[in-house]
Amino acid sequence: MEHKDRGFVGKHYLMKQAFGQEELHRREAVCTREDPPGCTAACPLHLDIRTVCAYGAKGDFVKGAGVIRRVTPFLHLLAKSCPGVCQEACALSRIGEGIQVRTLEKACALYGGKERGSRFLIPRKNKKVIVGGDDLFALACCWELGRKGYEIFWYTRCKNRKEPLLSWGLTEEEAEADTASYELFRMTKKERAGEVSEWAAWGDAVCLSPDLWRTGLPENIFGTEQSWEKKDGAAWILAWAKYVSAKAERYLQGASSEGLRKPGPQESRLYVTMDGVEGSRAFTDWEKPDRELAAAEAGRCIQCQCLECIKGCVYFQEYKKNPRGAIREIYNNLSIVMGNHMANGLINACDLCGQCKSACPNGFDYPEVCKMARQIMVETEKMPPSAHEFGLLDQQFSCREGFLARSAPGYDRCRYLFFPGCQASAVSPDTAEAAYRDLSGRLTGGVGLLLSCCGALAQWAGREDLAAEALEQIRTAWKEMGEPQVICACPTCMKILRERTEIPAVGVWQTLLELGTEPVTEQTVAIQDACGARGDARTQEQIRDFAEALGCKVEEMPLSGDLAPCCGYGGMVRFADPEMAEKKAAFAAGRTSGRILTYCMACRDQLTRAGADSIHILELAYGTGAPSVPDLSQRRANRLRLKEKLQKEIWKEEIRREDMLPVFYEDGAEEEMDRRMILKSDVEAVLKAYEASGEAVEDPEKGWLAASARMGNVTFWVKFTETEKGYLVYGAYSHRMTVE
Amino acid sequence: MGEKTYYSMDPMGKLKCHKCKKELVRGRAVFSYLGNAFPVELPVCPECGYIYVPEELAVGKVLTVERSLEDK
Ligand code: SF4
Ligand code: SF4
Ligand code: SF4
Ligand SMILES: [Zn+2]
Repeated sequence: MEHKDRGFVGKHYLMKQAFGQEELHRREAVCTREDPPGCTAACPLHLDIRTVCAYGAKGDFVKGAGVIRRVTPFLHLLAKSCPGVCQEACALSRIGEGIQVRTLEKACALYGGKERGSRFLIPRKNKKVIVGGDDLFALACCWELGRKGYEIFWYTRCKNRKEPLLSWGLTEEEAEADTASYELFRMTKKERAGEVSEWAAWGDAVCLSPDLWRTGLPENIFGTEQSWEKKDGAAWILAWAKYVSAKAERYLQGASSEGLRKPGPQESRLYVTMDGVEGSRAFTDWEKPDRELAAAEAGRCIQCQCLECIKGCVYFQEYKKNPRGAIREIYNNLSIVMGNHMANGLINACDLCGQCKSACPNGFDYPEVCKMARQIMVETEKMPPSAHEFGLLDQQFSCREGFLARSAPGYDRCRYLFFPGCQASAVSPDTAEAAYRDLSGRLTGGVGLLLSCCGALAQWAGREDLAAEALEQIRTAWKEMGEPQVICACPTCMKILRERTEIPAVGVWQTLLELGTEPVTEQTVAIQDACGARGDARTQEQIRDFAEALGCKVEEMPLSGDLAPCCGYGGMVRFADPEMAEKKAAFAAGRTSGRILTYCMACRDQLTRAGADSIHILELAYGTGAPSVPDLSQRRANRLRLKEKLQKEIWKEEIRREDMLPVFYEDGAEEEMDRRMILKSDVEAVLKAYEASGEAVEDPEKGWLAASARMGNVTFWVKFTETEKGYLVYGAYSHRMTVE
Repeated sequence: MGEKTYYSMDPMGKLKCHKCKKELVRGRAVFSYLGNAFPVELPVCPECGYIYVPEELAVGKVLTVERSLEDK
C-alpha cells in the first residue's frame, strides 16, 4: 500500500491520503457493477438496451428511440433486420425467455420513430472527408463523421441517401425517418469518378466501403476487408462503419488509433442479482408489436444490476450508496484541507462487519477502506471527537476499573484462561460467572480468569495505539499465568487474539462440546452468525453442533453464515450513529419471527433491543440471563459487580467500596440519560463536585438546582433537588464546548 | 466561523446563584471548541461569576455547532 506523504498546509491543517489515485482506481475496478449488462455486451453496437427497456416499460418509446438514435440513426433498419444476439445474452434467458429486444426496437420505430428526437449540436470542423460507396456501410460512415462536424463528400452511384436502406426492404417512409438527421450535416453527394487512390488528395481523409477497399492505398484512406451477409443483419455493418470512421477521425486529430476496439461481442463481468426473479415468456412477437404488449415486454426486463453487497447492508441502503461510489467519496473526503468533511458520517457509520466483502462476487473490500480512513482521520486530528469517545472510555473502563486477571485459586500457572469478553460481563454477568464455574469444575490444570476488552473498540475507532495497549495488557497477564490456552466466549475476541497475538485462543463452544453437553431444551432456533466468525466456517459449524447438543432444532435464516448482517454493534456505530445501529439491529432481528440464538453478547443485546426473542447460546446452556437489556450505566455496573463478586467468592479478596451517594432518579430521567450517553457515574461526579464547592444555579420557582463538572472533554450538568433521603435527579445534559 | 453571538436570555428574577444567593444577570462569556471561540451572552452570577448553560441551549444550538465544527 502506497502511503502518500503527509502534507502540511497552513497552520494547523493536516492532510494525508489513505492511498493515491492509482490505488483508488485499482480498488474501484474490483467492482464490476459498471460493466454493461449481457444484452449491451452482446450487441454489436453496444446499445443501452437496459435504458430502452426502462423507458419502454413506461410506454415511452419516443425516449427509447432517442437512446438508440444517439448511437445509430437506423432505427427502422435495426427493427427490421437485427439478428437479436442480445436476446440470447439476456440474463432472463438463463431462466426463461430473454427480452425480445427486436420487438422493442420495432416498437420504438413504430411509436417513437417519427419524432426527430432532440437535435444534437454539431461542431464545425474545417476538414473534408470523402466517403466512397453505394451501400449501408458508406451511408453509416457519412453519419458518423457528419455528426462530428466534418464536411462530407459522398462519392456514390446512389440516387439519394435513402437508396441503401431501400435495398434492405425499408419503405420510403421508413428510410426517410432513418436519414432525416442527415439534414443537419454539411454533406454533398457526388457521382463516383476517378481512381480511389486519387481521392486521398481530394480530402483530408477517406472512408471506403468494403467493395472499394483494397490494401496498399495511401495512409489517409480507411476501410475494412470484412464482408457480411444480409442474414447476419445490419448491426455488424453499422458497428464496422463506426470503427472505420473512428479510425479516420483519430487520423484527422493526429492521434493514433491504438486502443480502439474492433467490433465484437464484449465479455460482461456484471454480476446480476436475480433473487426472487422467475423465468417468464415473451409477451409479443416482433412483426407488429402492439403498444401495450411491447411495454409489458420491456417491463419484464429486470434492469440488470449487482446488488450483492447492498441487499444485506442497511447502511448502504440508508445512505443510498454502493461501495465503489463510496470509496471515491471517502477518498475525496480525506483530500479536503479546508471546508466541510461531508463523508465523516459515512465513514463512521459502517460496522466494519465484512458482510459486503463476503457477499461481493469479486471480494470488494469496503470496510478496509473505512478502517484506513478512520485511522487517518485520527492521525490528522480530523476525527470528530464525539464519534468514539464514549466507546473508547468504555474500553478504558473494561481495561482499568473492570479489569481482572487471576490464575486459578491455588495455581501460579494455569493450563486454561477463560476470557468472557467485555460484552458478556456487561450484558449477562451471571452467564459469564456460570461458564467460569463450569469450566473450572470440569477442566483440569487450573482455569484462570481474565476480565478485560480485546481492544476491538479501539480498532474500530481507528485508535491502533489503544488497541495495542489493550492487547499488551492481556499478553502480560497471559504470560504471568504461564501462557495458558485462552478460552474465549466472544468470537471477535478470539479472532483478534488469533490475528494479532501469539496467544492460542479457542471458542468456549468448542471446549464445552469437547467436555460434553446435556440437552436442556427442545426449541427451534435460528442462528445469528457473528461478524467475528465471518469466514470462520469451523466456528459457525461448532455453534450449530453445540446448539444441537443442547437440544435445539436449528433453522437457517435468510442471510446466514458469512452473509449474516451485523447487529449494529460493530464498528462503534452504536456510539457514532445510534440511529443507524438501531436500524441495523431491526433488520437483523426481522429475518425471523422465531427465536434467535446468538454467540456474541453484543448481538444478543442488540437483537433484544430490536424486539427479537434472542438468547445467547451460553444463556441457554446455563439457564442464565435476564429478559431485559441493561442501559449504559448498568453495563458498567454489571462488569464491576461480576469482578467484585468473583474476587470475593473465588479468590477470597477483600473489596473496599467507596460509599455511594444516595441518588434517586425521577421517572424518565434514566432513559433520557441513556439516550444522551450520560452515565450515573457522571451524575455522581457532578454531585460530588457540588458537595465540595457548593456551586450551583437555583431556580426558586421550580425548586431545582443545576450543578456542573467538566470531565475529560465533556461538561456535565445535573438538575436535582436535595431531599432527606438523598439527591433526586430530574435530568442531566452535557456539552463539549468549554465556557469561560 | 458560525454565528458570533447566537444566544441571549433574560434570567432576571428567575435564576439565582445558589452559593451567593444573587440573581443571575446577563453576562459575557466565551464558548470554545476545537480551536474556535464564540463570544456569547449567558446567565452569570454578578458576584462569583458562575456561568449557567441552560439545557435547551446545550442540547440545541451548542450541539449543532459542535457537530458542524467537528466536520470542518
Ligand atoms: S434483463 Fe434487461 S438489462 Fe438484463 S440482459 Fe435482459 S434486457 Fe438486458
Ligand atoms: S456495515 Fe458491514 S456490510 Fe455494510 S458496508 Fe460496512 S462492512 Fe459492509
Ligand atoms: S457486490 Fe457490490 S462491490 Fe461487488 S461487484 Fe457487485 S456492486 Fe460491486
Ligand atoms: Zn455566585
